Parts: sequence; C-alpha cells; structure tokens
Amino acid sequence: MNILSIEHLTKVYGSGDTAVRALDDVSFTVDAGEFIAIIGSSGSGKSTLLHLIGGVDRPTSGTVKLQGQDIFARTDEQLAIFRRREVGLVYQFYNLIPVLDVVENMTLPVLMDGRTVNEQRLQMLLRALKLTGREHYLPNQLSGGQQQRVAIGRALMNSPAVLLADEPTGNLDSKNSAEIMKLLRDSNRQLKQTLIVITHDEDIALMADRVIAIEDGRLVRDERRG
Amino acid sequence: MGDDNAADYGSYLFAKTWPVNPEGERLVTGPEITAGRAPEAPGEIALPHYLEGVELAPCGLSVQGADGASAIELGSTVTAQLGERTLRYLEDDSGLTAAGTSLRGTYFQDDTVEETFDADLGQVSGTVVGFYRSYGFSSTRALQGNSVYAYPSGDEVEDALADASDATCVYSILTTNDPQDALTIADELSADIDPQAGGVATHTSLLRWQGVTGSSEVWNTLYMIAGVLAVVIAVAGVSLVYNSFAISVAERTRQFGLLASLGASKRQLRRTVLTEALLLSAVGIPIGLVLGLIGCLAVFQLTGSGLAAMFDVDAYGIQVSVTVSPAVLGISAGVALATVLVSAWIPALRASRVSAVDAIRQTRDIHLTRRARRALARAGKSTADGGTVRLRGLSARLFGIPGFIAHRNLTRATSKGRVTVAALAVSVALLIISGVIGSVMDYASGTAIDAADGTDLQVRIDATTAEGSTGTIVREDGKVDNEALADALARLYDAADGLEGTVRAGYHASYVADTIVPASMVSDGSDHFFGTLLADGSWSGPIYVDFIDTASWESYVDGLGLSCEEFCDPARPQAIALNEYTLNEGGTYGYYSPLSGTGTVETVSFAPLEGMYVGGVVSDTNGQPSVWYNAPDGSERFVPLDEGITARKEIIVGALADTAPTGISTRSGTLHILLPVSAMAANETLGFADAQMNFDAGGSAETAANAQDALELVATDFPELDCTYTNYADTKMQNRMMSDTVQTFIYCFTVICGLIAVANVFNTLTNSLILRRREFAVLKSIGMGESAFRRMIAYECASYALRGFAIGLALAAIAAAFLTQAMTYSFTTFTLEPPIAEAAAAAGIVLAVIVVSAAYALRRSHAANVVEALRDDAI
Repeated sequence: MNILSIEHLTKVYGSGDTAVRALDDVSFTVDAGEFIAIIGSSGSGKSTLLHLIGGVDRPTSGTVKLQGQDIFARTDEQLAIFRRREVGLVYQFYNLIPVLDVVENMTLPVLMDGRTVNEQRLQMLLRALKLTGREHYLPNQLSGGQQQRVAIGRALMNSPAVLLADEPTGNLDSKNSAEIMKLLRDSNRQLKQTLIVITHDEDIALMADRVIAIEDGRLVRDERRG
Repeated sequence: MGDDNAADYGSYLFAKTWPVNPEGERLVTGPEITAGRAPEAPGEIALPHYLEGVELAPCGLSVQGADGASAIELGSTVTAQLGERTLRYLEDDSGLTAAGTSLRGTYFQDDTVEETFDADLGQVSGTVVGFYRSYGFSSTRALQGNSVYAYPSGDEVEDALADASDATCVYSILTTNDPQDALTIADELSADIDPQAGGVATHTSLLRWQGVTGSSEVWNTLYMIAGVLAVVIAVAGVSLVYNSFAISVAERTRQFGLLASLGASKRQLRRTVLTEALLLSAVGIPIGLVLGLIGCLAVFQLTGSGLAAMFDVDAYGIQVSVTVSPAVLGISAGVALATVLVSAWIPALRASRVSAVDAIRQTRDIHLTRRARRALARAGKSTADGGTVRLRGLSARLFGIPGFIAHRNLTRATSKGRVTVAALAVSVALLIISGVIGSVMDYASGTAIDAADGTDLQVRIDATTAEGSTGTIVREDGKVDNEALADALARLYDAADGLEGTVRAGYHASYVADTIVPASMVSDGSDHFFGTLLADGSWSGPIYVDFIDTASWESYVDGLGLSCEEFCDPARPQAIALNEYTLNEGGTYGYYSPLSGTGTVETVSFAPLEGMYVGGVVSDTNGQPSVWYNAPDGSERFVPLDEGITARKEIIVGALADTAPTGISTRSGTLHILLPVSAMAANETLGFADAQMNFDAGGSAETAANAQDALELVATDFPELDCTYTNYADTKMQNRMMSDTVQTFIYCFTVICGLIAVANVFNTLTNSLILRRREFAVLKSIGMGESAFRRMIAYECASYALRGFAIGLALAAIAAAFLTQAMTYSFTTFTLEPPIAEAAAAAGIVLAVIVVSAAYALRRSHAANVVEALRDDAI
C-alpha cells in the first residue's frame, strides 16, 4: 500500500547566480512498512530530501503526499501538528533538549499535543531502549548511544506513520551502531513502521528493503532488494 | 541731617572712603552708580541716590551749588560735619557710642535713652561727582546706602587710628593666597587683637561657595550626588562590558573545548581571550574617548552660558571653555581597559577550567541547583514506583507545554538565566535611579533657583512715602485709605496697558496683619515654619495679606480648579492661603506646608500700652493665651486677650494653594493669605506694606527698560503713588540659564543611563536567545507550533523580567537611600516620594526592550531556518 508519494520535489537555496539546486525533480513512492535506505555522497541532497519529507522545510516546487494528502498544503501551525503526530525524526547529533530529562524528552511530542502519555507504551519503549533506571537523567549524564536511544524513543513515542533517521549511527561506535540499527529494524518489522534512513554505512544499506541513491540532487538509482 | 531733614533722609550719614582696589585685585565692588561717576581722585565725593536734587534744610551737610544753587547736584561742593553720636541709658547711666544710623528717624525711645551728638571729628568736603545706590545684599557695616563716600586722600587710616573716638574705625580687607587658610589666619589674627579694639570676620558665604567651610551643606549634597552618579554610571558601564564578554566567551565554550582537544593549553586559551579583549579595547576605547569628548563639547556648548551665569564668571572676566585634561582621558582609558580585562579574564578563566570533553558536549551549561537535583531525584522515585508521566508544576498547568519547557529551562540552566536577570536588574535600577536623580535635581534647582516666572519689570509702589499721598490715599491719621489706594492702583494699571513689547502681569497690594491661626489649621511639623505655637496648638503672629487684581485673581482661582462663584463674590470674600514655602536657612533649604486645612483666621489689633512694645499673643505662664508686652529695660507684662486685643476681624480661608500667582514669592518664612482686590475696602485695619505691579517683557531686558521709561512717564500723573522700578529680565534670564544647565545635565545623565540600560538588556537577551537557536530548531522539528513557541519565550522573558525587576527595585532603593541622605544635608525638609512613576517607566522601558530584543533574536534565528539551525551541528 502506498503511504508516501514524493512528486517532482525540487528545492533551490539562494537565488540568482548563487542559487544551489539541492534537490532536482525527485519523485518516488513509499509503501507502508517499507525500510528505505537513502545513500549518496555528502552534499548530494539527501538530508534536504529527508527534511522535506519530515515537513521541517518547504520545497521550491513539487509535493509530498502522506496517505494521499499534500503536507505542504497545510499552514505552518498544521505542519507543526503534522510533525509531532505523523513523523518521527532522528538526527545524527541526537538533538535532545538539554534541560529535559529522559522521560521528558521522550514524551515531549505527546505533551506538546496536549495528550496524556500512554504509560504502557512509555515503559515498553524504555525497556526496549534499555533506558530503564535512567528515566530522570539529563542528556549530559548519558553516553552517545544512550542519547541516540532517547532520540529514537522520542521519535517512536507517538507511533508515527513514518520514521525518518538522518545518519542515526554516524556518531556512534560499531557496537552501539548495531544496537541502534537493530532497534530501528525491529520497530520496522514488528510495528510495520515505515522507516527511511540516510546512511553512509554499506551494512545498513544492506539491511534495507530498498536503496535509493541521490547524486547532485537527482535520484540516480532506486533498487528494491529481496 | 538735622531734625527738619530727618523724616525724609534719616538722622545721620556715615562717612567712608570710597573702596579702592589695589592694582590688579578685585577685593571690593563699589555700590551701583545711579548718576555721574564713581570718585576717582581725592576731593571727589559720592552721595546716596535719594539726596540727588534735594534741597536740605540747614544741617551738618552744607551744600554749595555750582552756580550758587542750594540743591545737591553733580558738581555741587558739599561739606559734612563729622562727629560722635552718644547714647545714654537714663536708667543706669551707661554711655555708649552708637555706630548705627537710621534712614527713617530714630529707633530709640526718647524716654529711656538720651542721645547727643558732638561734631568733634572735623569735616569732610569735596565735589559731588556721582550718586549711588547700595546693592540689596550689602550689610550694615559693609557698603550700605546711607554714607558719604569720599575718595581717600591717604591720611584717613592714620587719622582714624590716632583719634581717641570710638566712632572712627578702620576696616582692612584681606585676601588669602589659598582660601583653605582663611579660617586659620582669621583665628590667629583675632587672637592677637584686643577685643575692645576690634575684631576679625570672615566672608562666610564666599568661603562656603569655595568649599572651605566645614558646614558647607550644599557642597556635601553635590559631592554625594556626584558620588552616587559616578558609582551608578560606573557599575552600569562595567556590567555592560562584563555581560558582553561573558556572553561572547560562553558562546564559544565549545570552540575552546575543541581547541583544547587539539592541544591548546589553558594558558593559550586564556591568552586568546585576553588578546582579543586588548584588540577590541585598542579600537573601542579611543572611539569611546572621542565620542565622550564630543558629548562633553556638545553639553558644554549647550550649557556654557548657563554655567557662566551659575558661577557669575562674567564678573571676573573669565570665560567658560572646555579643557581636555590628559589625566582625565588617561584615567578613563585606564578604567575602561581594566574593566575590559577583568570582564574578559573571569569568563576566560571559567572557560579554560572546563575540560575539553565537557566543553564540546556543553555539559557545563546545565548547572543543577540543589533544589533542582532534589526534584529530579524525587521524580526518579515516583516513576520507579510506577507513577504516570504528566506535566508537573504550576507553570505547566497554567501555560501548558510552553510553560513547562520554559520552567525547566529557568530552573535547570540557571547560570545563563542569572546573567540575563542581572542585566535586567542593573537596567531597571539604572532607569529608576536616573529618574529619581532627575526629580531630586529638579527639586534642588527648583528650590534653590528662583525663576521669577512672568515678571521682567516689577514696580514696587509705596503710598505712604509719596509726596502727593497725604489727603488722597493716606488719611490724616496716617492710615492708608484702602478704597482710594485700590482705585489709584486700578487706574495706574489701566494707564499702563499697551506699553510696547510688554504684557501686564497683574498687581497686588500687600498688608501685614497680626493674626491668630486656629489649631485646626496648623499642620503637624509646622513648628519650624511658625516658631512657637500657643499652648492650645494655635499660632499667633504677623502674616501677609495680599490683595490680587481682579483678572489675575479670577485666572488664579480658575487655575486652582476652584469655582469663581465661591471665590470671586465681593460680597462674601473667601481667601486662599498659600501653603508651600521655601525657606533658606543659611546654607540649607527647606520646603514647608504650614497649614493642614481651611478655616477662619482672625486678624487682631492690639491695645497700646504706655512705654511698652507689643510682643504679640503668647501663652502665659498658666498656658492661657494673652498679649505680651515688653519694655527695653527687660520688664514685661501679660494682658488677657479681651483687654489686649481691641479689634478682631475674620478672614475665611476657603482653600489652600501650592502655587502663588505671579509676583508673590513663596520664598518666605511668613504666611501669605490671598484675597481679591475687591476685598481691600473691607480690611481697613491691616497695616499697608506695599503694592507691586508686574510686567512681562518676554524676557528682554531692553524691552523692559523701555517699558520702564514709558511707565515712569505714565506715573507722573500719579503723584500719590511712589514707584520704584526693578528690571528683572537679566536676573531672570540668568536664573533660567542656571536651571536649564542643571536640567541639561540631568537629561544627559538620564539619556546615558537609559542607553546603557537598553543596550545591556538588548545585548544579553538577544545573545542568550540566539545561542539557543539550535534548541529552538529541535523543538520545532519535533512539532512545536509557532504560537506555542512564542508562549514559551514569553514565559521565560516574563520570568526574567519579574526577577530582574524585583532585584533592580532593591538596588534602586539602596541608591535612593544614599541620594535622600545627600539631599537632606542641604534640603532639610526633603523627603523622597516613592518613585512609582519612575518604576513604572522603568518597567515599561525594560519590557519594551525585552519584546524588541526577543523579536529581533527570534527573527535572526528564523532567518536561518530550522534546517540550517539543525545543521549547525558541530561548531
């Protein structure tokens, strides 16, 4: 089933002579529950693509449709609601709020939505993310791997339709990397969570159902595997 | 002057040498020459202005006119008999030589004192070359008016010392090279002098002005205010510089960590910061000095003439100019450099102490207070027990998630918050203090400088001394006919309409009355103004009753917000009592409001008692009010009120006023009660003092002088009125310039403080928000909406503002306490009103700056959108 469709997505930074075409007429569709790896050299436009899908940035032209609805037809305020309900974002540098503890960081999107936290889901995630006993640690009291697990917990807390990860293991050692990827893979398999991961890591690319390669803002390869 | 002349010209004249200054010195200023010129050679004489053109009855001053005429004119030759005046008290037969003269008759009672005059000291003669008038401030023994001034021939000192008479004396005026030595020298001199033979006096006003006298209250006040100003500005400047550096170093904590991880030593890191500080100083300090000099030049350009007026430098032929003092520039540069270095050093030290890893991970940014740590530990327990996660705290319940995050930020990142709160506190304090100083200085200059608004030409009118007054305004019994006087004044005022360039500014007639003010009208703490109160709390003594011309009265009543129906009805006159007075008590000033409310004041007339003077109504030994009489021999009598008082008349005081109509001075220790001129006729028992007519010439001395000439012509038709003219335009302009000067300094100070305060808040807040743009981007990327985001920022700013305001208020209170202390040295009755308006203004300004800074900072962090901010990853 087609959950996400990206149509003629173009993003230009700057204008005139200094204009940079970060993304150039990219189109593809994503099925529900798919695990996609986006690869490409640095500066190829893959992060831009991820940010556009996540509704963090707006495209110069083209559309992103989630479950048939154009996300950029929404107002900024609606887009904010979209971000906290429909997508989960994981960054290379964790991007946790330094003054909030583990539980507060993880539940932030739920709290922002004005809903009560599903305690069962929280405990389940804490266990799965091996953060039990560290619920009230501040980010600077955690290791890099633990911080990234909190970031993943935050992304998964709302059971989003799509989970987007920008080099989630780029900052971690191989043991932590493997753990994080296993977590993401499990969530993708068990919860039928659609997962799009940007990576440089060949091993991670090999785990994916499909690999999309971006070069100079253009989609140059789209491979389904298995 | 002989008995026939005494009534008009006084009984005696002094004979003195005309003050001649040594070459190149200005020790004494001669009296004002009204006609002719000052004596310049032996044999030349100057006489008082009231003797010009006068034909005297034969007396000790003989006159030989230029062409045989007997009137005293320029060129007349006069000869004055010099002698010794002896008073003998009849009772104890003690004799003393009187050194006093009196312009109007004797002031000795014939029945107790016998007076003799022996013309045994020779004579002084010469040609009259000028007539003079003494300055108002001349004291009895100095250059007073009733003297024959002869140019010294050189023998006078020797003669005066040689003769045995007590009536001759020699005054020496000394100037000390260093004013600080004046008092010591005076003490030494007086120790050497036989007190019978003479004495030493110092010029106390001059010494106070020069800052020598210890009890120089005004100087203490000025020094203390200047001290508070300097401290306030220095603290503000230092905090501004410190904040900027603290922020700029904190901003780069991560960079320092990175440098440290690349092998930079702590010393190198500190040096980096200090070198940067020095480079910035090398550019910033010279620019600051130049701007400061330009500012000084501008201020002194604006206030130069005012300063000249303030210190009366014209009289000394000095000009006000701005001198650039290398020492002051050096000190300023030194202080600025020290401030910059200290401001850079402390954050640099802090930055270099942070370990490389901590700096890169910015762990040190989050300092938990003990309370926050405890709260975290508690939270840990509750979830471990299986408690649910929900928003905690009042802020979260009231403001939702924005309040929650803001609260976390405020309680867990306190060190950043402290800088912001400190900046806000200093700014609030600065703004309040500059406002307070503004009003304090305003009070001081308003109290000490009389701007005499609206009066350029003042005509003082005496009816009792005019040649044509007897039988017209002054009745046969010597009393003033109030109705006739009111009529004459009204006619003169009408005739004075339309003088070129001037506007009539009203007139009034002043009377002196003995009164009893009931206890219900006497305010608490008025004893300093009134003196002794009677036993029942009422007060009795002389007051002024001023009758104001109809037009001025109506506009005055209107200006006070009172109804003309009540106060302008001639059939039922109601008075207005002035209730704000400035009293100069030597070196200090005080403001007094002696009355507590309206009521009825009684004017009284006393019964004469043979051989005794009326001393007024006092409480006798039993506490009963009675009329007190005393005699020169020290005997006294208390007479019951019903015997001592022959007539009473009530004046209904319907309102109290803080402002006086034009021409009536509140710089007085005597109560003023005001009535319309229509009530004059009904108040016959009061004693006439004088009348005064005011003209506004738009501040021009020349216009006022022309108006005076025109008015003198008009006044020739009113022989019953004796007019004396005073041109106030110059004095007024001088006073206005002085007050403008003070105001300009106040404004400059306020503007500087305001700028520092605003810059401080803007700098701190903008930077602290821009530094957090990545955090903001994260919040947005995970779904925080724009309005929630704004609420969060608003909540944080409000918290900073409230805390900053509270601390700032406390700081301002401390400074205000010092200011009040400084003021009470000079202005004894000064009390500082709680500066509510200043505090509100400070709150408003700080709030506005917070809003602008936050908006600016958010715009700037917006300009780099969420994606860019997030990409700002490493450094």
